[in-house]
Amino acid sequence: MLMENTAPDEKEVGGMVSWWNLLVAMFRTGIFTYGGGPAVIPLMRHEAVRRYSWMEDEEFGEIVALANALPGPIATKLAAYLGYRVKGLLGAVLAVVVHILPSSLAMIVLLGSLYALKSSRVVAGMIAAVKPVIVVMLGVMAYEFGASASRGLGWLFAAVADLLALVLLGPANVHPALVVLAALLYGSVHLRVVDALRARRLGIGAGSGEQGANVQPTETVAGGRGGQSEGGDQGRDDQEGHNGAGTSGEEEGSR
Amino acid sequence: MMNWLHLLWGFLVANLLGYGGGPSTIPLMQEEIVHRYQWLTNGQFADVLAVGNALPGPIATKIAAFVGYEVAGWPGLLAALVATVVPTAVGLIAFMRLLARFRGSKAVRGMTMLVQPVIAVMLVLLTWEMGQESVQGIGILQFLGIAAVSLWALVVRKIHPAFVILAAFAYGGLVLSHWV
Repeated sequence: MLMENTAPDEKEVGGMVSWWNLLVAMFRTGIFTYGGGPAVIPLMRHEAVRRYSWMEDEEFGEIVALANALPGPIATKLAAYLGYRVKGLLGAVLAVVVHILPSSLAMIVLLGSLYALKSSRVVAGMIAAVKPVIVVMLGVMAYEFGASASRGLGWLFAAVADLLALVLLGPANVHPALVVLAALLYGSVHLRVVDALRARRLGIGAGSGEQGANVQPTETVAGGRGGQSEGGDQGRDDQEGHNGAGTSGEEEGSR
Repeated sequence: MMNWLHLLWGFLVANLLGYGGGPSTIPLMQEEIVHRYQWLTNGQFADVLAVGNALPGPIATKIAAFVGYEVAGWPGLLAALVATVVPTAVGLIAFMRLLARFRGSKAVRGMTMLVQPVIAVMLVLLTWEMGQESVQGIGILQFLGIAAVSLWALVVRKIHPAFVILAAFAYGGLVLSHWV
């Protein structure tokens, strides 16, 4: 089960994807995103994973995690990486330009009619009506990443990891970059830990490769391991998280 | 000359210190734009922000484009946008290349798995925040109504998000404009 959910090999997409598809996707996500950078995530995913199949969800998840861990606007980081992934350096540059140019120019051109637009009830109503749609898209995406985590890690370990992430990112207010870093650090040894523990518990039966026999022990072993690492990770993250929050002004930003 | 160097530096600082996407960099941009370099007054900045929110696309680049153009014309716009976009985009590409090189390794496969619960939770929190914001703006009934219809359209009917957003615009312009 664990083996089945491994990240797919890099898809050879470069030759198949037309410039047109890339640029249209970036233009579309640029002009249909309302409510700031994060609202672009579901739209980008729709283009990159669903519509044009440039990559699998796992890779898109990594991009979102790293984009969240790095400073600066999310949307342009995603646009740049998708462009780079599909068409190299020039792809990255053009993807960003097409994504941000329409709204950047509109800002300058609308300079004169700034105030009319600002006070228009119709515009205010339109923008207010889009917010619930964005909320639904983000919610659906959250569910799908949660379900995917559950398939990959086993539901018990995934639930522990979800809970841990929720406590760290929510009430504990730990800096997202630190939470992502902690997940990556433990993730880099996760499979080795699972293998080692499984081999020890199952003894000779470990190599049988039969699904039913392997899944159950993996889950319990992984769950136990998650419990052990909980205290240590959290303590360290808390400490560093306060430093991070102090310097970056993340607290007011995330509300 | 100095102007666009200042633009480059000001927007670089604001964006390198801002985590959590464009909206979280707004206070940092304000610090540079209003307080440090005094390109705009607080009132002007509030107007730029209001118009920026009324337009689609990332907020940070809209502010950068506008302020850059105001201060130093097209070279200023370019400087402010480059400072906003390039450093962190390069960072992401570099990180992803590193991951891609070891794509098949157990370490990276484990990282991919463990990052997913974190993403899911980040998205849940974003969903919650935006949901609260929306409920405050239009009330719980309007929110639930629009949310239910868009859930049906997106998940059951699998309609492209752009069309769902256009439909929401139409509804908002025709109906919600009498509420807000």
